[in-house]
Amino acid sequence: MSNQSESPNPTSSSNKITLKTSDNEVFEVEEAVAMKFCTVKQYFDDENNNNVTSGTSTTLIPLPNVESHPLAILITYCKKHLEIKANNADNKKEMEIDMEHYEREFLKNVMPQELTELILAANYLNFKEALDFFCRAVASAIQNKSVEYVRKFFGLESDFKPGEEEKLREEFAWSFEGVDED
Amino acid sequence: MSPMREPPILRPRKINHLPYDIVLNIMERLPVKSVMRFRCVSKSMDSSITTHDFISAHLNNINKNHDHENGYVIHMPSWEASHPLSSSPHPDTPVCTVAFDRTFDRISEVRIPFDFDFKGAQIVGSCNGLLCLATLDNVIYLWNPSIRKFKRLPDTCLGKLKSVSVRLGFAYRSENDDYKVVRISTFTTLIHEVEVYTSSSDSWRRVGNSSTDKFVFCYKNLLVPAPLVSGALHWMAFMVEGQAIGPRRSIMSFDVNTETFRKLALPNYTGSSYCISLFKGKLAFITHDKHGSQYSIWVMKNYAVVESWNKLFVVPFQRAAYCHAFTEYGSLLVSYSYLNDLVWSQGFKIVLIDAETLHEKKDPDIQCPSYVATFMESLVLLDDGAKAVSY
Repeated sequence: MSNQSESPNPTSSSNKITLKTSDNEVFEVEEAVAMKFCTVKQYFDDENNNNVTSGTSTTLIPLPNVESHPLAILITYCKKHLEIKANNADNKKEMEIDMEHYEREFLKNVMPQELTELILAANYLNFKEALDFFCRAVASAIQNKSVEYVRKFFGLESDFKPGEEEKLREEFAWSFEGVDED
Repeated sequence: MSPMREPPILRPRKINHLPYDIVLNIMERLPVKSVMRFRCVSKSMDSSITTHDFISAHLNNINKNHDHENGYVIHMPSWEASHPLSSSPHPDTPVCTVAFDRTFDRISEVRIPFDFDFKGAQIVGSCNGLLCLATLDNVIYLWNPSIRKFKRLPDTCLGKLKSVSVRLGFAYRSENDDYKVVRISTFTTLIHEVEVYTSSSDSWRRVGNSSTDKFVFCYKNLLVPAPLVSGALHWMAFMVEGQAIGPRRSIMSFDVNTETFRKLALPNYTGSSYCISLFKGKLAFITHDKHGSQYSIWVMKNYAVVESWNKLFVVPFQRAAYCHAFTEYGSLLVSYSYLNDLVWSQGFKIVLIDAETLHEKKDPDIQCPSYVATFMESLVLLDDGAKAVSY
């Protein structure tokens, strides 16, 4: 896995952290990137607390619930996130515009089903900004979809008693206007 | 398509579904119409969506993404505006229009769903997408047009008594997530009787008048709700000195948490005081010169700090103008009139002025003087059970 880290990041130290995925791939990332993953940060902090002679850059953190494919994407997203933040440290509005632009581009290369995989990884890693972004992305992908599409997408089954669903559909018939085809 | 990769370790690749709490997290970010439709996904989903927690989380997401640049307004023609001389016809059932705050470009129209005596009816206020409407004979409704639900409030305790004037205000109290309607009746003895409706109790309660100041409310001349700032509703008032009404005006605020009155001084202004309103969340005060051809907008930068009144803008007009409404974004809805003539007489014309840029929009999509309030989509009132009516 190539690991260019030319991003000018004032918060990053030279320390690298190594992450190992469930499919046994190893990623070496900047500490600043890894610290955005709260699960990793927690692990790292605990390790440091237990070990007075901390500061070693050889920490290897196993991530048994994350596969390499989503992790690689999350790392790219995280680096870009930090870079945009650093470039616009004194201009929140500019930062939001840059971030929005990047996120729009990002989504062009991601399939809706891939988002599920990314959400699960971001959720496990407790990477809040990414989780927030992917949830927003799913919301915008499904907002005009049918009830059946949403059931399939989330793997949910109807537990209505006979007649209950029809009654709701009738009551909120207006909310079924203008739904996209699946 | 996503690349099909074979995982290096041998185990069946199963389709992982998202945990239910994340599904709800996604649902909380959907537009109201989608949320209402997805209630039909499952019974459990319907139960989750109609909880108080879901409605609040959904509201927080909307508020987080809202700024003063892209707000909405809702407007309803004032009955006086449908005067026979008016250029616009009198609608049989009043229609409210949702529009962009900045431009008044129309987004949608919503018909008022309840039997409503339009004569003298007003928009009392708007909080979190919930509107409070009142008729002249004291029938008050809470209405959320986005989810098509409304509720008629119980009658007030003092509704039948003859009072000199009635002031109504609508407020949201975030501390305990309660919506409040405040009704102040003023009697000939200049005694104010305050009643407060709370949505949590669904009832009215009389509140003792806490004010040591004697005051009378000024004539209501603007078609906007009593501004809600820092948990208090505000009205302009004349202070009573001895037996006489004093020359200077003040602002009387009613704190909806402590349910007490408080006097706030106006800045040192020249010209005539006109009204108070909201400007980007701050209390604003509008004055004009004696010809009505120049309006000044003052903003209280730090709430309740009299020294922080600051004159932000002066809006000049080529001729006398009558200001109907001042939106939170800072647009003045103005009609040009002729001196000593009815505002809504022939030749009446509405324009929209951006106070900051002085940009004048000549033909905003609004035909007659209207009540104007901020508006947003929300699910508020969805958990009100049987008390609220769906239509």
